[in-house]
Amino acid sequence: MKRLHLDSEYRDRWEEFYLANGTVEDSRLKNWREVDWRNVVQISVHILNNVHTVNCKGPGFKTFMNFRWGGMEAGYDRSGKYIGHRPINIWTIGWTNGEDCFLKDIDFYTGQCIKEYIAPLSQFKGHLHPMVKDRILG
Amino acid sequence: MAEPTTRFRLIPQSTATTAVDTAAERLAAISGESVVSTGEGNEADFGTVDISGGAANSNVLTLLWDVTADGGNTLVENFKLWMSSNGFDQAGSVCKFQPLSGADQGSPSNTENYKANAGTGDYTYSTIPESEPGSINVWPSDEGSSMALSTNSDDVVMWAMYLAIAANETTGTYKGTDAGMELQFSFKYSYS
Repeated sequence: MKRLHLDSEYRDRWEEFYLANGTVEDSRLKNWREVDWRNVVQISVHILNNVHTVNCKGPGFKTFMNFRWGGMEAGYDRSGKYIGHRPINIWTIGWTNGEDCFLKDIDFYTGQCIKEYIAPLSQFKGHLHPMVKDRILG
Repeated sequence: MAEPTTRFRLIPQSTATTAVDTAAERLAAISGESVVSTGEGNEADFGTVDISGGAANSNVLTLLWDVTADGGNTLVENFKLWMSSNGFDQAGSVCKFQPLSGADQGSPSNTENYKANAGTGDYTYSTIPESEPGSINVWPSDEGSSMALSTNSDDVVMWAMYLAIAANETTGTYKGTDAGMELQFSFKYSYS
């Protein structure tokens, strides 16, 4: 099985893209931009033993969203004491109705859901899949 | 996709506008630049603020952020900069910032054009948020909301910042992890 060149941390961190014809694409084997995004009906993120799934059943569903967050953020302990900066590493999956995005942030390190939120598509239009971008943005 | 490799650079306030008025110049080494990080001794230094005569301001710093290795990604956007924590005791002690273009924008709206030797009165600064902003608050120097990646980003995010220190603020050295006198910033972006 030919795999993409990925760091070892991706051994337990991957995405599955479920297509309408029953095919399941694996992010360790194929870059998400090469997946037939027009026919994706479900995305699942697997991190350690956690699985987070979004499907296409939301009202007004147009397409799935899939991107990540990076950066550096100050960290604090339970008493509020600064304990140093740590890299931000978040996987975000969700879907859009063409106006808003319905998103879930997942901690890359733990696999825990950080938050679920709704945000305007205008904030994330650069992350639309190239196969559907023109159709969604009109 | 792997995470992109990024960097923060501090450039001299005396940097000429002609040294930063194209994307290529902003991405290349700028004379006198230094790479800054969260490491002790490697952080951006606002200098000493003398408040013996009342409220006073720090030096203005000009910083740039860009991507130096794309990690297999093609785009970054949603750039967010905020002050995570500070040990200031006075509510009037804040950080002011202003996103910058490189002096090459005709009519910038999200940014202002860079000025050499800019001081606290040379840009329309706003107070930096003290928690993560809900949306982008620093923009690429080409005034776009995103930057394309092809190994490097196609431009930089640049901004000026300074500390406005209120009268009667507790004196001392504000930095890093120092309890009660800490000073920390955070930066976040999305990529795909």
